[in-house]
Amino acid sequence: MADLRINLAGIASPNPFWLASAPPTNTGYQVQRAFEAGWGGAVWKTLGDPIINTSSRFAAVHFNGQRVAGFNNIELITDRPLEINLKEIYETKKRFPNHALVVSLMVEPKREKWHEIVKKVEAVGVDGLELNFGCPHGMAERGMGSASGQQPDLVEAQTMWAKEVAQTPVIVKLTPNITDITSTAKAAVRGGADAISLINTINSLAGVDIDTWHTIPHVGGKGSHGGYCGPAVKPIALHMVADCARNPAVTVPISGIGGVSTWRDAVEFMLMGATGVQVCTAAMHHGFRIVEDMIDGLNNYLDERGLASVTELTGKSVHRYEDWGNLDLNYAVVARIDTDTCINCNKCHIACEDTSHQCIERVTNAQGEAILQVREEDCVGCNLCAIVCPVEGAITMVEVQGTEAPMTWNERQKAVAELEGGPGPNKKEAV
Amino acid sequence: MSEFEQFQAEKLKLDGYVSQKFRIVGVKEDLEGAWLDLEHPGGETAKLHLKTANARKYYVNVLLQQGRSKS
Repeated sequence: MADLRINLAGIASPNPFWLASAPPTNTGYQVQRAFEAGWGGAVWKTLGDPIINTSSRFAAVHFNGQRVAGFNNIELITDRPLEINLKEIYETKKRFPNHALVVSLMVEPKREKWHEIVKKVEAVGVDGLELNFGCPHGMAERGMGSASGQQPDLVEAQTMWAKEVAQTPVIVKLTPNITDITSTAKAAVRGGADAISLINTINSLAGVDIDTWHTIPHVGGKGSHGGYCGPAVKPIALHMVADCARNPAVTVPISGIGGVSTWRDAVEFMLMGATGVQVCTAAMHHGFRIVEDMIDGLNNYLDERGLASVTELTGKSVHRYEDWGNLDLNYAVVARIDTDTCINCNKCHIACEDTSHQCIERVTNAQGEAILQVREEDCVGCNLCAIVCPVEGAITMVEVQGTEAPMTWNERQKAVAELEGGPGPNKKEAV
Repeated sequence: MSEFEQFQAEKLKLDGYVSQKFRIVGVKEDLEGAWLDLEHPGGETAKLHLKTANARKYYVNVLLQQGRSKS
């Protein structure tokens, strides 16, 4: 049995699965039940000046029979007084001293406000703080959340203000509603953050009811943008985590968030640089006990691979994530169709014919049967046929042994530039 | 003509020049593709217009080999 313990910037946890700051971590009752179920840590729902929420807050995007492929919410931070939250945090930590209890914070971008709340929260005994610079709705319109988190200078300043008085590790939670997440990640590091967590939710409108013409959700006939999360956002989150992990200026550990629903998702986030993960939508969809499968699955995976500790996963795939300009242009794969497995549904032919490179043909074999065949010399290796194929293993992408040495776009452009103007500054566009 | 056949035709032309000891000495890339200037050690010159993506990739492979054989 592998060791699942992690340590994120000094915050120890019995396993890498934390509940994210969100509705599941609103009260002591919930967080204690979560710890009993097996969660290694929890980030308490954001504390700040208590707000008032709307009725009707959540919406989901169901896709092709999959419930909650995406999830949208317009709920804000805690609506309970600070004193009650602090009492429950104290009781929870006392009952679960070995679990990671981090508290999410959000106040106006004023130094004294950050000092006040950091001191009050740390006084009840927490393991760390998470600064919420990501909430995209409601609070942002008041200058907090993602409104702060989209401005690197404000991220840096507020992190610094929190760190001026903090005794426990400070995690800065980043908004994805920005062009380059590393700009705010670097700002957090400059401000003294001990770790970063990402991503918070993405600006969204879940849908419009085509019968009533109301937004989904609506509050008395009117809607507002919310925050999108759940399985649908995982690729966006994974990219942003990887981008931070491979940036040499982002020198702090990462807590990965965004569509983590299974142990497999957690492994992917850790391979791309996360020390641990935070989960929300999957717990809201299936309940706290999903963590049992996550722990079992992760344990089995590590055992099968002969890894003694989950920490051995962190960052192992980061070096494989590159700028496009450093990919090998001479690498090639082509599609091969296993005609024994193929059910002749024709989806690959249609996909290739209509939207790719017209290289899958219907031909007649020696037995007079119609089969699908790839004209490999025209196949560009786009993967589309394998993606749309409904039969596992019927289409495989096969590596073609080339005769040319690896050559990236950047190497190509350098060679061409030198030819055009002789050795010197690269005049061609590199990526 | 398929994209592959177009590439093969362009590659054949370039390989033909290379086999006759022509070297790529200049290139201009624009919206129409790559325009190569080739030169033979004997002073003879030639121009080659490469349109396909694979040919525009291939000529740089040749160029890099040319650079390697020079050094």
